[in-house]
Amino acid sequence: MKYKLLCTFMFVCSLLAAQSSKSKKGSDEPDNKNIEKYLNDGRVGHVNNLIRLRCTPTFISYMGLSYERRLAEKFGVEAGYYVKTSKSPIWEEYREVYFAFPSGESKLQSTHNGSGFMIFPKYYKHGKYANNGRYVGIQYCNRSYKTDLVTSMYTSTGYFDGTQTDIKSNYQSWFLVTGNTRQVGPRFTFGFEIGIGMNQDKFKAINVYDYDYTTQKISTTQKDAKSSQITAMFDLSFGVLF
Amino acid sequence: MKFKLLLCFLAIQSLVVAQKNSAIKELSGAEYIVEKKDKPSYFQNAIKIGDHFFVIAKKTDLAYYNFFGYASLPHSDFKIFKLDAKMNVKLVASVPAEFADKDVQALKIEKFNNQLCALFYFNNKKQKKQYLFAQMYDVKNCNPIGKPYKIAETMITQKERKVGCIFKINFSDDASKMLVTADRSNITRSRREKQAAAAQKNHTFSYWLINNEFKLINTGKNVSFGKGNTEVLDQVFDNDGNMCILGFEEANIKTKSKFRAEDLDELESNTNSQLIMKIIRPTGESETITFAEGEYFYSAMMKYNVNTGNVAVVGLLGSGGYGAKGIFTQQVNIKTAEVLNEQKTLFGTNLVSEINAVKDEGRKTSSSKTKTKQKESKRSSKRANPDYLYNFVRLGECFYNDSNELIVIGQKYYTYVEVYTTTDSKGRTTTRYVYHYVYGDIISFKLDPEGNIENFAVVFHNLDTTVPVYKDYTALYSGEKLYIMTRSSGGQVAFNNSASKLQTYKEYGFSSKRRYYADFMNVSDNEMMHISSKRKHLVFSLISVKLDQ
Repeated sequence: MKYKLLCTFMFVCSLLAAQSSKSKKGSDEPDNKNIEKYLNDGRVGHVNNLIRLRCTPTFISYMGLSYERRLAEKFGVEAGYYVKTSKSPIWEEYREVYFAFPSGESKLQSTHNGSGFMIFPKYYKHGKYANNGRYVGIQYCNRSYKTDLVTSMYTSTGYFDGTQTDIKSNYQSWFLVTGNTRQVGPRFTFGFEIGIGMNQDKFKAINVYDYDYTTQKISTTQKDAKSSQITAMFDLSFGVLF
Repeated sequence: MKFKLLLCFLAIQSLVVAQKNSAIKELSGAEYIVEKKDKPSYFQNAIKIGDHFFVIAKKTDLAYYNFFGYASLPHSDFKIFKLDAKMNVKLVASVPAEFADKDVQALKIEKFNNQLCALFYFNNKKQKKQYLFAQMYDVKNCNPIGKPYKIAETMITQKERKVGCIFKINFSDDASKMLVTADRSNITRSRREKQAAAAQKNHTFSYWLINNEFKLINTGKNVSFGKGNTEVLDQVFDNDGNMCILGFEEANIKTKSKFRAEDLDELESNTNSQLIMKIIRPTGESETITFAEGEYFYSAMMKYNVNTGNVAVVGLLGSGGYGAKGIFTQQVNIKTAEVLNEQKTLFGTNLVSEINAVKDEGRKTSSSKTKTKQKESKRSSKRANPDYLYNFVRLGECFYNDSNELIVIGQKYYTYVEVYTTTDSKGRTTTRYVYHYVYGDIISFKLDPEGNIENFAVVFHNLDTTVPVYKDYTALYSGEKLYIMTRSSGGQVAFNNSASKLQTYKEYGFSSKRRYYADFMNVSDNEMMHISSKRKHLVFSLISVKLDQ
């Protein structure tokens, strides 16, 4: 009985070993059924969706993400929504704006309570999916917020600083952008972009100061104002593919 | 008793199978640490099927590469172009959809089973394997036929994750079979790695023989091939599937940390090196032949004669330190493994001086070139050896003629380094090294059936480049005439122990410096062709040499 059991055990072992050997040998056969297995290097592939965290809006305190969808082999769209939660730590508040009428030098002192969106259609030169690609596109940004504005004006008695708070403002920009996205690791991406374009600041009902040298009085009128500039942009982004 | 016997039998069987399994497992070992050397390439290769040309190329630009580096190159952006005889692009095919977003690199395209076969390799960093894929394309419409096949795989280490292709692929003359070999000595290795390889008792390689239906005819893994630092030089196989692998067994490896030029003398005189040939039958049986014992080969290759079934082995004798001192020829019947002829022909002082005496009357000498020549002559006088053809180290092509005579073509080749030292305003010194690769004169020899040198021909040529060139010229032997085609000129070469002047292409000149990644191909028995690409985009230009009928 013992022999029979041992014999059966050995027979099963030999069968298993033979099967294992067969499968090993079979792995040398040309195979076109398990291509995904051979290409599986731990990185997601063939993915059309990407969520990005962009550095430039983040630096100026716009919290939000953008979503990119590859619509076709050469075409994709990115859309983002941002909410401004706090004052910007860097340049946005301190940039100058130029109006079409004489009103001294105006500087943004603070922007707050804002939100914005971005639409970015892209034409891809390389890459078929959202994982990788070089592209060109036109990036449109629209941000609405409230502004504190300081206008400095030279008078015969010295500088006059007129501060206005909570001005309803709108910022729009159009950039011709080229960039590159690369997959890093299993499902992360890193991208960079450079672009050139223009932006426009619109302010609702700001005080326009006019100094009369003869009467030495400052008159104030309220107007809607615009300021346009040609500018360049650079942005970095980190994304997650899904 | 019966039970005991059965038990013994089963135990032995399981042991044998387990032994086989463990042998297969051991294949993943023997990993070398290699240095990654890779270059972006625009243009892989071109073939002709019927009246059309097929070119596989990568569309990218060098400026982008220079700025962002290798990591930023787009993935798998290869295209297959179908061109007509006037180089008009008729169709463009992309790589298989399965390869999108993966670092799959194209290797080449070939005619296989009357269709187009594109070969790709992929370094799977997670699985630590390099896979070789084949995708068939319809010749008429360039549409992919089915899914790509994984046809071979080999191990890579973590440091080899960006290594180039380890596989060598050959196709039979009737385009019905393909032979794939994986030899890790194809990977560039440091001296320490070579020493580690030499310390191993056996050198091994793997092979796969596949038919036109993508069925495995024959395979071998961890096949023993030579001792120590053996390098697989060439491989051929006939239509029946008899394979012939040629290797150079360099058994004597220096243990010195610094290798000096003087060591070359010692290397050539006290060497146990030899050529080794393994003939593998479709049944799996194999025979190993060794020859040219004690000889050092810088370059060797094989040529298969379809008519006779013989394989000619041609090697340049010499270490490359001085150049070559002679030609070794050997003929082996691939079916019977019979060694037919073995001949070692030394150039000798007279022939070397005769070849060196051939002057290039048309060569212009500028001041900078004169300086370089002076440097060269200093070096050559330092290590002058009248029996060697100086710098003659690259064996290019060999041909059989109808009388079973061999025509052997080689090229002079050397490298030098230019050192630029700059000092900035703060006194910091920066040193920059620029490596130059000089592809020199092409020398052809006509050998008689016994392997003796009958006569020679010289084509003066000089290409000084900072980018190593895979192929600097091509040759075609047709109707007892030899034709050579370089990047700038082409024409017939006469075996009259003198210099042959090639005709400069009419089209050549205005944009020649901006052409990169050019390749040559033999279009037919009487036509050769040169395809080149430009910096930012591919330009298919046809420069053909019209041969005499």
